[in-house]
Amino acid sequence: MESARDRLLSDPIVITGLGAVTPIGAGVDALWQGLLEGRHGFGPVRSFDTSAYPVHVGAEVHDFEPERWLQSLGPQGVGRATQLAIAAARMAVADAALDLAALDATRVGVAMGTTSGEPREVEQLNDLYLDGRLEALGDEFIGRYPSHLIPAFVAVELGLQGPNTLLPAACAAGNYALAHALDQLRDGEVDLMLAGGSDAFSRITYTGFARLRAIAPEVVQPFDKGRKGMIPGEGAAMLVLERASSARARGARIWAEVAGYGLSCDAHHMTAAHPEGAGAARAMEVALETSGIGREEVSWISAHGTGTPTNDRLETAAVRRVFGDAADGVPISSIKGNLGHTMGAASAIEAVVCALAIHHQTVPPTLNYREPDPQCDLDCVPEGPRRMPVRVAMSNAYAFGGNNASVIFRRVPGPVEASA
Amino acid sequence: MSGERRVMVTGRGLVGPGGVGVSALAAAPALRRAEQLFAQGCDVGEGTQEPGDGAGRFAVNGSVAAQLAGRWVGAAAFDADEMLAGQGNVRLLDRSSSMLVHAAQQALDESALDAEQRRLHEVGLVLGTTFCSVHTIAAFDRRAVSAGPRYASPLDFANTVINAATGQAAIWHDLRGMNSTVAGESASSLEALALAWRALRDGRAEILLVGGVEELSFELLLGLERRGLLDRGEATGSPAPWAADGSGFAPSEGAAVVVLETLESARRRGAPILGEVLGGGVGFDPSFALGAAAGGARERRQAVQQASLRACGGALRRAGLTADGIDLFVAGSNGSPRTDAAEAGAYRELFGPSGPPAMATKEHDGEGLGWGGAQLLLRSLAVLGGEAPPMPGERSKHGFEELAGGRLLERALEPRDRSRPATALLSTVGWAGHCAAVAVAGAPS
Amino acid sequence: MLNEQEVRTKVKQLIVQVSSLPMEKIGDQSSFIEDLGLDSLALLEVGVAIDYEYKLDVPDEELEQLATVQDAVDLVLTKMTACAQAS
Repeated sequence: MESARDRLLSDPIVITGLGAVTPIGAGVDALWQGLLEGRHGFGPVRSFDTSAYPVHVGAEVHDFEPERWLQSLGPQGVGRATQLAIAAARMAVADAALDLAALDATRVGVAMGTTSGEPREVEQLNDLYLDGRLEALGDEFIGRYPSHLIPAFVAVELGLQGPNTLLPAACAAGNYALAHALDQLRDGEVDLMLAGGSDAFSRITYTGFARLRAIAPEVVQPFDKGRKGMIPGEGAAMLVLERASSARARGARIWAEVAGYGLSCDAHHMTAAHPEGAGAARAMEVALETSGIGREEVSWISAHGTGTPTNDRLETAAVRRVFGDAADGVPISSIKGNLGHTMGAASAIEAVVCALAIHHQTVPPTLNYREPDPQCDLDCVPEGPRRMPVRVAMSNAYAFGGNNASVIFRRVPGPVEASA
Repeated sequence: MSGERRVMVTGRGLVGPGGVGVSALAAAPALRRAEQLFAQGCDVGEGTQEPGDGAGRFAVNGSVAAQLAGRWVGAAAFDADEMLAGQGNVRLLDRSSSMLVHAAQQALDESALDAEQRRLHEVGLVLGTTFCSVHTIAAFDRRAVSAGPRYASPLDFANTVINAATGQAAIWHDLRGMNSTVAGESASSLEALALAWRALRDGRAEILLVGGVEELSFELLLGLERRGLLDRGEATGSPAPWAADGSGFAPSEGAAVVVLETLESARRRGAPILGEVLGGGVGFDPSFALGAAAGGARERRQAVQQASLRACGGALRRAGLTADGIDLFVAGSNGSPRTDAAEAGAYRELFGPSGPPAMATKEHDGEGLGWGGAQLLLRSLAVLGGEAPPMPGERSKHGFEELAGGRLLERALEPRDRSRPATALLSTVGWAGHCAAVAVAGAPS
Repeated sequence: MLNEQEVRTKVKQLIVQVSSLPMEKIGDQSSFIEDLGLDSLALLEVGVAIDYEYKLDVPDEELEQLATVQDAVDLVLTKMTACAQAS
């Protein structure tokens, strides 16, 4: 007899809503069109003065209007990363055509990732301190700073009472949040999850990457021989996840299935990846194994692809380690040539792009790729958007702390194809 | 995937206000006045990492420090350089990381997980923390702003991510399995336990270090004070859960870690079985975070009470227990009136008038935030193993009777059914509405 | 004028702070990577610490060239001398 648990495990978890705010615009359409048309979001940093820095370019979200998205909370009551997350969450709910009022709010959860939460709140504390005006610090610091308030405020805005979790897994955090949401749905403790990631552009992050000499002066060139580094960015993305049975019952559009994930830890170095990409390869292998998907089934890889000399070389090595000679036949794109590195939001935005790639049967190109690097000798889709069969997409994310996470997305055949 | 894997505790580690090692649980209540920290100049001055910043970390600003001086806090007596000397480069670790590394070492030792075993079993780490080191983050930024961005410390930048301690401990102890961090103030490490339990049950891992860490800093204390979260009862002794005159909590720093592993693995390795984690649950309600717009204080408290009940119900369901199968309720209540009331209300609703005795150890240990839940677990295992609980004060006893209609444990636990290990339900309610619960059992006799 | 021995002692102290190595392990000619086992991040930290101590304002490219303790001492002496002559 089929147990309740077996029944849950045989019900795929699918994506039915997408929302994103990125340096190339608010909304999933702006993101997808921007990627296809080769737009990028790099420009002189506006949120603080960079004159003392050796670099001056960032990937900020401009013209964002928090008051458009915040209904219960005032824009002053929450930090920037929270504002971005709330906007992305509202977009995802609208995209999923969800009537939240009709759902049991205690069974709708939020799982989010971030690298830094609301670092601007710490910067404000420091500015007061260095100015000798610490007395002026009010209740807003702890009212806005703690990172678990990001999913809490998303739930406030949407009236959600389900499990509410923040997983700070740095630049792999979006994938960690998706993995957690997947497990919660499979466990049966929730009916619907909003999962994603968010980070705000910050002086602290920019200073750190500038000090590591990791920031490129003008643009990000993933996998290119002349790549000069990453560019910090900001943004948020949220996805609506639910069981396929519930999506079908409510006639929802299904973007893709979240088939599985793999996590690993390099246990090697805080900021540098394992020299042979061992941890990154392990995350991909575990993701494939636990999804029950063979490596030959992978159509396309959404790379971590930050554009730093080391990341792209090691990611290439890790892909080769997993796929062997077959790696030549698996196209791999990095959208960080468009968006820069949006930190904890990056893998959530990339998850949105995986869903779109599967839906449109088109993969976005790697922007700014001009000169091949023998150490990054994969097919990184330099020519422009490529129309191709995308049945399985794998999304990689790697982070400070040696946190590696790969998530696998699979096409869900429509009713016509299923019956054919 | 088998649903039958059992999850055992096979190692413990603690760095807390009472001292280092689980034996420190027996120490006298460790809370003290923050002014004692100022007087000591504190052992964690900004010294080398922030030259020119002058005096110790708690004495940055005289008048601000004076406001904090009367507050109760629990600060760990812990000198990282001394405790970890000769074992590696301690400069890579900030205070959070070094406390975690040390607590993890104790747990690994008790569980007999040497370097070879750790590699063989692909041991992972699941950590609860809320702030990791907001001090490291702030100090990194201050130096860059005051001296110029070229003088920002590269090593400190690595520790500005909220998963820094998790990553550093994995590097230090060569932990290559899953490496996850959960942030959720007092719910953090109970959530981490629930997440780790699920990973072990589902066969995603065989052995995991699980726990939490939080570091006290000037930045954190000041922020909590300005938010009105710290205890203000300067005349009435340390914060007492459910006390009628409760006004907030006493934050406490430290790290608590356990080794969780499947029963099969523990038996195969001959590891000591110190208890069992039966399952965890989480709940959330946005009313506290929304504030007055969510209704009056009573409505908000009742809404969060329901979230606490959902967390407890989830833990019981996974444990395959009903409320009458619980021998001990271990509360996260800490002296903050509205979260304490929500938790007491959940107890009353869950157990009715003849509930099990309760224990609220934050009266002695302070509110550990990220490590508070793991601290509850260590306390619970000791009491489930027959040790006497820390003595509750009169204000807590009366308050619990008033709010929950229950009694607090004052002597060694007497289980209702001696044919099985005694059970406890650990709970917490956070100030933003995050609730978590974990069901545990003592070691089989 | 700066005394070479004083500079050497200070440079070694900074290396001790960054690496937690015992002072006696750090020889005058020790190489940062082979002998002292520093990685690129720690090496950068040493460079930043020396620069910060003496306010040399050395371009990162020059900091990256430092391979041994003696290189670092020489850099400080050269820059400080140049600075003294310029003023």
